[in-house]
Amino acid sequence: MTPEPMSIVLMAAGTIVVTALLGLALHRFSRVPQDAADAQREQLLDQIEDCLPRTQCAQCGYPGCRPYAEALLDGQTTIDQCPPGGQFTITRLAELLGEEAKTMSSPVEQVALIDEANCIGCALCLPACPTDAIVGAHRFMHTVVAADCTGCELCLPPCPVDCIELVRLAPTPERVAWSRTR
Amino acid sequence: METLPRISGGMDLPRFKPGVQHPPVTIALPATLVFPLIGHQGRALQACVVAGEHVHAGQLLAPGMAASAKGVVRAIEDHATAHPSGMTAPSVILDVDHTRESAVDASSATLDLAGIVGHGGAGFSLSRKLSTVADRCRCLIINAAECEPGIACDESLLCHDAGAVLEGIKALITYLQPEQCVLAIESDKTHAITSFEDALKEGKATGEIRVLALHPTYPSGAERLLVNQVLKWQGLERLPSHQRPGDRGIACINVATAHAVAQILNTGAATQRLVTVNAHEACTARVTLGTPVQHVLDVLGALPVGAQRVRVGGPLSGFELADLAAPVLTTCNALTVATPVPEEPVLPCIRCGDCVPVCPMGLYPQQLFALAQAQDSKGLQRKGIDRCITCGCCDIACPSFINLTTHFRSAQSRLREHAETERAATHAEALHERHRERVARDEQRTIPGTEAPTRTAVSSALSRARARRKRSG
Repeated sequence: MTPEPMSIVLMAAGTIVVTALLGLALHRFSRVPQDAADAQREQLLDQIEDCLPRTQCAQCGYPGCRPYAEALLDGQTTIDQCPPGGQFTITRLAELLGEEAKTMSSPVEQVALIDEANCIGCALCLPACPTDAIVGAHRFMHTVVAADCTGCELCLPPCPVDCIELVRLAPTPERVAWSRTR
Repeated sequence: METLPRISGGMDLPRFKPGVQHPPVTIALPATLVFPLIGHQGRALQACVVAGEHVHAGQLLAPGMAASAKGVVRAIEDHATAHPSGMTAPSVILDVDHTRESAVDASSATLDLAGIVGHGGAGFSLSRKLSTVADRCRCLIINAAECEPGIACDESLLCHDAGAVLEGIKALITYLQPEQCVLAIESDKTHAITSFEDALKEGKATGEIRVLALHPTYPSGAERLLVNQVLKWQGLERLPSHQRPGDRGIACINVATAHAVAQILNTGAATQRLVTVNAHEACTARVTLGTPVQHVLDVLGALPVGAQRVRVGGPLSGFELADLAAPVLTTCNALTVATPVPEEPVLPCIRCGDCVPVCPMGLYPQQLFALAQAQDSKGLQRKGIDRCITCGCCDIACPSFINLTTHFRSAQSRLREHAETERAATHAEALHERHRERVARDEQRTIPGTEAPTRTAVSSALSRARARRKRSG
């Protein structure tokens, strides 16, 4: 016994209405409030930033570590753009973001050294340093506080007399890394 | 004398104590002594002498490092070290003055311990260790346990110089005023125990220092394990992994370090230590600190030939010495000259679990190995890689000849590196925050005389300039 065409139309209409109502309810009650979404995003960005060395060197192409974290979250860049972070950062980012870990060579541990004989005291390198590791003033001797220098190389371009060089930190008996084979 | 029960875990290794029967052989002073500026855990030390300076025995060359003979500092330069990495390090090179040392006034009431580091293997600063229990010392443990086969210098010391050891212990007791003092030694070191008990009777100190006999298991002489054995004997809670013995008022001092204290009392300087030399003939050598290994072996006629290599320390905790010019210091307790046995090829882990019951720290080497292979740092830390004392018991137990200890040491060093990277990153972040705040502050600030000119000022300057041009035509 086939149902009358009218009942089919009624049943179809009823299904559509109920589905629409359900959908509306779902949308209304499951939508996350805007500030909660923002807080969630901030927390994720903090987690991403924690994986980075935070030297603010801009070698990744973004003006600082936070902008790089934002670009990563928005999918605009890849996880292997941070040279100072090296393999350590890539592995942690891969774990956090669920991506495949690529390989990268370890960063060179280096600090900047100003050749005081050639420094003209122009103070152009001072604002370039993201960690304020250069001590000095206009027409006074400039020097790099090695403990605060991250080796980001941002001070090299502004120097008009090229008196800054990068010195590699040599391994010492304290900082030796033991290999996995004897 | 009380006997303590066996520790859980560890291995009962064959007793092999070369050179104990005969009195130590004194090695003559060489022409040059070397003092690498490396401290506890490889940290760099700052020299407090300069090239050309005349020093006397006992004079501090760097914190925790005293000159062991009178002489002139030839230079401070890179030199081979007896460090497992085989690296060179800046060292104080001392040209020895062989003329008779003038009598040192050793009668001063204050015992200057600044030059002593522990002779037990870690080389921790003695004065720092004692300061952790300065307020209240519940127990002074003299560690005469020497559980690794192939090392017998502490046993030899007790057999042949127990009187001086007792002197040193008495000085420490006077200094620390501990509630209790014990000397811990393995039960199979019968000669040494008798020798020390005789010294106690002679020194009328039998009641003061209790002798505890340990079950001769490796590594029951490791500081943390020994402290826990003593605590158990006293009926107290064991030491949790995050605490140090000093936190519970316990000072654990190696018996040779106590002897060094006696040396300072008698001669004003702790200049020598005993070293077990295991070559074609075995003996115990009395070596002046800073003597190159080459000189010690040369005097004893034990220089390596052919495929022989020199090993510093025992078969489990030791390492191969890269350069014989490296000096003997407080952490060098044995030298073995032998042809290295070729290592068995490593086989895959068969999950037999033989490594688990032998771990003295209660860890699971099988699991740690899997985590180390996967480079799972979080997992390694969760499963206690920091508690591993790299004793090597799991290596011996493993039927697949896997060098577990090497993997764990490497994992520990990688974790230390990561912690260092983390610390540097946090530091850079804090600096960058300060930098951003400073830039924001500077943008707000105006230096007087450099404000941007106002519109009226600009227009009046322009009209003045126009008038001047008109005047000059």
